[in-house]
Amino acid sequence: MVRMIKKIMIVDDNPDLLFSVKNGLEDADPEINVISVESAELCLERLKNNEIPDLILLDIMMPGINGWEMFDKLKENVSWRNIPVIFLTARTDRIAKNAGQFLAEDYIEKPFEVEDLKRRIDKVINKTKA
Amino acid sequence: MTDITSYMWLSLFAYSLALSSVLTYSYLKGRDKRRVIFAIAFYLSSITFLTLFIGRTGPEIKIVFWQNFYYWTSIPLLFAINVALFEQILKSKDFNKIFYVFLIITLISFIPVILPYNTFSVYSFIRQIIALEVIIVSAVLFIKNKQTDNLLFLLSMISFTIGGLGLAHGSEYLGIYSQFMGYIFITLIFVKPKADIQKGFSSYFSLEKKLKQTQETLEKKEQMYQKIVENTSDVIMLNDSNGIITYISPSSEKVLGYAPEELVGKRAYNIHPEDHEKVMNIYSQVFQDGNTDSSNAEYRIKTKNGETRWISHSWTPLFKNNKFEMMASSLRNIDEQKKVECEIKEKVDHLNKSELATLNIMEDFQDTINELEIAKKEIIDLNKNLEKKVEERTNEVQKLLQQKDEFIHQLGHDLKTPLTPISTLLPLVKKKISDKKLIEMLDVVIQNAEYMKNLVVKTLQLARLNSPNLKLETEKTNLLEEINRILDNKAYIFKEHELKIENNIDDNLFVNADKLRLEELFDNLISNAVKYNSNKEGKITLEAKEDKDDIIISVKDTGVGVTQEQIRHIFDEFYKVDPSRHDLESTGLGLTICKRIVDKHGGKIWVESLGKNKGATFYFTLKRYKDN
Repeated sequence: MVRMIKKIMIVDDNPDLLFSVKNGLEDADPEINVISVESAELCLERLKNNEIPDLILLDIMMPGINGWEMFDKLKENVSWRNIPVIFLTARTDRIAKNAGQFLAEDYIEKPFEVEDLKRRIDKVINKTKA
Repeated sequence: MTDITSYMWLSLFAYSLALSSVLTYSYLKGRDKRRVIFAIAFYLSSITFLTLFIGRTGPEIKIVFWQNFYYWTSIPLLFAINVALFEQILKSKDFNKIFYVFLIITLISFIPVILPYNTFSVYSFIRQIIALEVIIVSAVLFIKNKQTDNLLFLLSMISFTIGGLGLAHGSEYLGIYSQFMGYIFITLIFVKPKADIQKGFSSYFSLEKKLKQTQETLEKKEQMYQKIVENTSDVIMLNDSNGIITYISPSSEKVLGYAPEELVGKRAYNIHPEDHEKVMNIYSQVFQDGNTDSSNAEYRIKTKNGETRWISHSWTPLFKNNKFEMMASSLRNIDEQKKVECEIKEKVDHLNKSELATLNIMEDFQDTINELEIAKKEIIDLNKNLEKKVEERTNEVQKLLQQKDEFIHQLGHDLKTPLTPISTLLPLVKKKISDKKLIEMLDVVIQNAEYMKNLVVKTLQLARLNSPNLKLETEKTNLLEEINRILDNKAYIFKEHELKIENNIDDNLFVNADKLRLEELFDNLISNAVKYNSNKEGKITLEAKEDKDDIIISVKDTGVGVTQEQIRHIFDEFYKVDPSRHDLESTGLGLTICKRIVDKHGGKIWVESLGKNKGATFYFTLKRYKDN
């Protein structure tokens, strides 16, 4: 069985969250490689440098380009269109939830359990690959 | 020898007999004795004329009695005429007496007839005396009364006298013609024109009865008037031309307070001093100036006992030959009437005042209405302003509520964000260390962090549910599908707690629900069931059944169960079933959130438990989805 490294890109303006999610996920699953990005602009830069992840965890409330705009940009680009997205949101409002449920692959509310997040990531990646 | 004279006597006989017959018939019809007197007289006269006719044509009468009788027969007619004349002179109402006197005298005059010798001279003498007497009396009566009857009596008597003288002195023609003339005059008395009838002697024959009746009627009427005058409540008063009271009716005692005998002969009764001048003016106008312009006055009098009384005085001046003769008056007590008039006047005055008052009130009322109109306008303006203000305020409130929601969301975000690294990193740290004491310390930190995370999440949930701005977005929801999705996300928890899930919900049940809230509801109920599970072989059973328009969903656990006391408060905010324990797992908000969600869906939520450690079953209802 070939070990498959799952490259997960997380976009959030909160460095503490980036740090804890990276450590939590990588600790929970050695096959996960988490790339932390502090803004949508930086994420776009990485994508343009052909750094394409297996999945993007996208925060919605961000200064500069927010999660919605970022999501649109992903879907507009042919090479990025197929990257699955899980929304990270602190607001349990309807729009975010609906967006997560119907536009993106999934959504998860902050604060979340790392276990829960890992389970959702696995589910999305397995589904995409199948 | 039969010649013209003989026939004339015969015709006089016939004439006399006819007249007698007519009068007899008239008497029998009308029973007036005057007629019978003349009837007798004419009948006897006819015998005279028959005798004269026989004397001229037949043998001479030699019998003394017959000769005497023949002389006598002409006498009763003279008596009859006298009866008529004397009735006028005596004006006797009792004609019977005159009738009987006539009969007696006639009978007495018959005595000479039965004497054994010729009494022609006696009757001749009587006849001449009576004729003279009749001429004088009838002439006097004619001059005095100017009645045709008397003239006719006079003329007839003169004719008879001439006739008698003519016969006595051998002039037979003169006698006969004069006799004729006399008869014609007497006959005329009975055949006079009707216009003269009342003045004529014939009135004694035809109208006597009517006259008598009229007299009786007049007497009755006089009595009636007298009664009326004396019994009427008004006073009837007569004043002579000097103003002296000549008559006053008995009612004066009632009206004026004085009896008639106290007033007759005086000028006036007791006039009230204040009206004295007024009444005197009237009297002087009527009696001195003969003024007849006014005929009524009202003034006050004083009665005998000093009482003041209003009377109404109406008068009529009576004239005789264009000369003022007397004043006839009627006096009436109008005291009551005056009192009523006064009362009416007072009331009218009062009413006038009231009317004025009413007018004032109306004016005030108008003012009030005007003020009210102004007030109304102000109120309308105010209302408009108020509406505007309410709208403004509503908008403000709306804005504030939005701001509040924003704040809650922001707070939620701000509180949740730092909690994620804490709850994520702490378990990692715990893995890396082996020091038991440190691990113990970290466990306390992790537990409290978890509790804080729960508290924040649940408080925000409840705040959102309590917000009036929250609106459910209900839709057709397949109950089984939705529950499976939720359970799927919770699967790792059940595994962790070694809990079995038994989902008995049918696939064809659709509820009208807001999916987001429905997930929150199941989250809380299932978390509760997991949390209080005490059984090692724990199980959560989900069931649903239709009940009319509702669907009853039950979540049954095998946990610690609830007591009746706990059931009473289990849905209250911050209620914890075991407050003595420092329970970091329970926030006391989960079931409150459940109740809010069910309430918002128009359903009911309740719990049943067989007791401690016998598990609990939570029931809630949702509206069945209907296509329409």
